[in-house]
Amino acid sequence: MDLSLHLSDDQLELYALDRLAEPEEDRIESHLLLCDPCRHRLDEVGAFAFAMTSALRKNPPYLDAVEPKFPWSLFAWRSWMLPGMAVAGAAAVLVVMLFVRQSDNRSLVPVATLALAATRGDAITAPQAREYDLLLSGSLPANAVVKVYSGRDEMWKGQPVESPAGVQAKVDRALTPGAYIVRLEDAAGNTIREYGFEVGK
Amino acid sequence: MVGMMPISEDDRPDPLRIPDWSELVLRIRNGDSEAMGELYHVFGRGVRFFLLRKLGSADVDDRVHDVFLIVVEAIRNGELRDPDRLMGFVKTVVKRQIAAIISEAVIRRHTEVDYEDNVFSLSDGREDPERGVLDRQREEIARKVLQSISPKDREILFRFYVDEQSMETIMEQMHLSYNQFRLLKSRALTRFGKMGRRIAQGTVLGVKKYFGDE
Repeated sequence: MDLSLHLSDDQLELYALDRLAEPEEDRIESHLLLCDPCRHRLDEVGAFAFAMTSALRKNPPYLDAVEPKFPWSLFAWRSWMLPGMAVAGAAAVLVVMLFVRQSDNRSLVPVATLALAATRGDAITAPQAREYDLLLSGSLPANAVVKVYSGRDEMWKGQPVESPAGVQAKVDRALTPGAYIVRLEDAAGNTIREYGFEVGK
Repeated sequence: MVGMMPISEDDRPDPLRIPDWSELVLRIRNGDSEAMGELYHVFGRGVRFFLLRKLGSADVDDRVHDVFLIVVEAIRNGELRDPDRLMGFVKTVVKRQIAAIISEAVIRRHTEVDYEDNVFSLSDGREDPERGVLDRQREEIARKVLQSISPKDREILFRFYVDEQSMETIMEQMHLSYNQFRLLKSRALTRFGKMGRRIAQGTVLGVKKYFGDE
């Protein structure tokens, strides 16, 4: 890289976000050491990049159109999976174990267990149940909480526990049919990971 | 900083003029005080920039001074064998200083539970109320920018900034050209800058629009 050439906004933004490989990062730092205008521009694009990241984490696009009371909301939840898009990443693993016991209320299973992975793919559909045992992929950061949302409405919040199988949370309430977002949030309310599932009729 | 006039890529000056490192190093070795001044002129703002970025503003002037002392001493002692590597050497000294200060702060944090100590101010925006306000203000501006664009464009930005997908991956999966991708980000950046300028200028219209009518 010619040190005399100024840096592009793309380079500066990736540098600000710490998403560059070391060799390129090193070359960019060499230029920044000498160039006032590029340092100034780095401050600008960096401020923009961090603000965007923060705003998008708190307002993810797939919360825009979730209306669980309408049947087609099941597809609205997946609106961020645009038609024609290839599904990236590994498919979510669905493990649904139903514990059926004698119950006066035969319309709801007592517990539905779901294993969710934070990747995009076909929505996991669970039966209506009185409780949901969630097994979330990934590690459990300190002081994290699990929240279940229907659209923008928070339906449940609780403390997860870490197990050899993953992060576990027990949603001790029934959920009506519709699409739900599960968010693992840190103590400051920032989203660490997100998952989704649907409750069928 | 929210209201800074954005410099477009096209507005930046001509390519950077790289000094003759060999000549500068030779003069410093010979005790030329003007050469030391030139060294500071060339590197001073950049060294300060990196120290501020990584360590915050506490003692930054002293730290910049320390870096130059180390560099000049190394030149005079003949430790810098290849003068053309002056730039790399300055960078190395800066990085080592940053690492040493952070290491020292970590050790102090483990041994001294003192919340008054500025060791907790190491480039941590949460301890700077003014910076916290600025960050929240920028986030709000970003949110307004996101509201003004289409869901598809929001999805693209989400993939880039939150999912940290590469530009190439997003272009392939969402059938975008390079120009389409860059144009989206460029427009969002421009809107962000304009909204920030309106707030910084404190116009009645800007303030009312930002905070809502009272």
